[in-house]
This record gives sequence, structure tokens and C-alpha cells, in this order.
Amino acid sequence: MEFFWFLLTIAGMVACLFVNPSLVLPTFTSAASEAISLTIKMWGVYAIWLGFLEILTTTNIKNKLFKPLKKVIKFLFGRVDEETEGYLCENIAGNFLGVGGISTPSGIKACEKLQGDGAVITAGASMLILLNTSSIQLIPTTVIGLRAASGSATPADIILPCLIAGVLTTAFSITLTKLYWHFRNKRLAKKQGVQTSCAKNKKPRKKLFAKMRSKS
Amino acid sequence: MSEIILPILLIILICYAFIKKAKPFNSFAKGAGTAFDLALTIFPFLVAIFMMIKICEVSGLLEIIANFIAPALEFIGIPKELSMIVVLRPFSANGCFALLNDLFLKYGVDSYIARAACVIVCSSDTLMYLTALYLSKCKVKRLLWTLPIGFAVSLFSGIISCLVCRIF
Repeated sequence: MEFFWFLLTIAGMVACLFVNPSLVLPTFTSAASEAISLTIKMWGVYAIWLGFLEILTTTNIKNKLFKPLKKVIKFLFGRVDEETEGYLCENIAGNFLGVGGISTPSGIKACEKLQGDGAVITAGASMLILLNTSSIQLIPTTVIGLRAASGSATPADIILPCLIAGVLTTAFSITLTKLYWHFRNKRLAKKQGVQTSCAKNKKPRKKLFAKMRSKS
Repeated sequence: MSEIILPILLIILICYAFIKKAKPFNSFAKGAGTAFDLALTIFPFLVAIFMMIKICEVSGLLEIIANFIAPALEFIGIPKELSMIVVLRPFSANGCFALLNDLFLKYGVDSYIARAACVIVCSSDTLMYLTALYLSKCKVKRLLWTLPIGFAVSLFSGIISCLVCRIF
């Protein structure tokens, strides 16, 4: 992140010096005031959705509601503790429903728990970020609204292509991330000469018909 | 229809909480109280990211990059008119919406270009903003290959969007 920010900011500033040097500082200050107005707007949005999430938590429906997501989370993130699982469920559900106010706060909390204190990014945190980058939106309301406002004959016909594209992009992103971390863990394990974590965490397989055998 | 679902779900939630004596008013206030700290945490990173994006937009750097890679994108199936949106999408959502409006005016809302652009905007998200935001509470120093993979995903979403719009 440091590298990208450094590269792009310096490149942008240098390019701006060639185009119109007097624009550099006003652009920075207008960017800052945009950030302030967005923060205040987000403060309001987060207040509403964090409030509703708190109600959801106190009523204990959360566990029943998010049961189908637990298998998905186990596949994507491995075994995580209860709290992180809850945050991840909220994040995924929020993304799916297209409500940024739920997914962003939950995503930030989930990332904090997945990352821990390390200076190097963990598999869980990077999977979370890449999962959120490839968004699957059930109904992309903002874009439909824009199309309708510009006079489209069929503004909502974008739903199916978006869904298909979203699913394929998410599949690609999950595959790429899993592959990357698989090869990275393998490489690190080879270097250290230890067993890879996937072998370590494997549950001992239940022997087929063990019960029947023990009874007979 | 979609505008009705969420409010109905919220009505059900609040009624359920009230019936089960889970004190919805207090819970809501408690949850809403945590929003201030969250907003405060993300603010510095928002400033840094917005600064970076704005200077790239204003100086025309992203346009230069978009024009530079347009032939390569054309080769993999993304029309050169869409190269700007593909380059901009990982950086700025608002910029993309502005570009969408421009494309609607130039090529017509129901044209292939405009529809493909809409699908590109919907099927991937703002990588830089998300990374900075989600890692705002962590002390991460090395991101390894997260960002390059993210850009590859955004590029893939561009390719797939154009493909899907051709079929549908």
C-alpha cells in the first residue's frame, strides 16, 4: 500500500506540474474536504446500521439467520472464532443486499480480528479484501437508478448480466487468492522444513463402518 | 420491489426485538454510539486515498495510463472506449459514476458500450479505498500480492462484463 500510494501520488503530482502547477494544492484541499463530507455522511449511515446490527445481536436471531453462510465462511477463511464468524456473515450479507452501511463496519471489525497484530498481511485479511473487491450485488440499485434517470427503455435489464459477471469475478478472485496462499504456505513450509498447516489441522478421518465393526 | 424488502425486514426485526423484550431502543443507541469512533478511525485513510485519486484524475495521469493500455485491452476484448472505466474502477467509485453519465450521453444508455460499462461498475469494487479502509485498524506493513491480485480481479471483471454483455 505504501508503495502504490507513493508511486501514484508522486506520479500524479509530477504530471500535474506539467499540466497546470497551480492545481496541485487546491486539489489536495478539495480532496480533504470531500473526505470530510464523506466521513460525516458515513458516520450517519454507520450509526443507523450499527444500531440495527446491535438489535440483531441482542435478539440472538443472528446465529439462526446466518447458518447457511457458516459453511461458506469455513471454506473461505478456515476455522475462525465465533465473533469473527459473526462479523464475516454480516459483511457477506451486507454486500449481497447492497447495503454498504452493514458490510463496511463489519468488514473493518472482521479484518481487525483476522489480521491480528502482524506486520505482514494474513490469508484471512487478504481474502476478505479481495472478496469485497469482487462484489456480487443482487440488485444494483445505484446503477439502475442512473440508467432510469438517463432515459433507458429497460433500466433493470442490467440485473442478470451484473449477477453473472459478479459471480464469475468472485469465483476468479477466490480461486486466485486460494492458489496464491497455497503456494506461499508451501514455499514457506519448505523453507522452514515444517509440515504445512493444512496437514496439521486435518481431522482424523472417521473409519467407515467403524461403529458396525465395533458392535460385531 | 427491492425497496420494500429491506424496510419490511427491519420492521420484522424491531417488532421481534420488542416482543422478546430485547430493548430495541437501548440496543440501537448503543450500536449507533460506536459509529463515531469508526468514522474517526477511517477518516485519515480516506484523506490519503482521496488525495491520491484526485491528483491522478486532475493531472490526467489516469487518462494517459488508460490511453496507453487501450490497445492491450482491445486485444483481450475490452473496447477502447471502456479502458478509462476499467482503469478508474479500482480507484474511485464516484469518478466511475461520472464517467458512466458521460458514456450514457455519448453512446446512448442502451448501447453495448454503456451496458458493458454498467456491468463493469457493478461487478467489481473500489480496491484502493477498500484496502485502506479495512486495514485502517491494523498495523500491517506488507501487503504481499494483495493489490496486484486485486487489479487482476478488476481486469478480469472488465473482460467478463464485456463478454456477458455481448451474449445478453
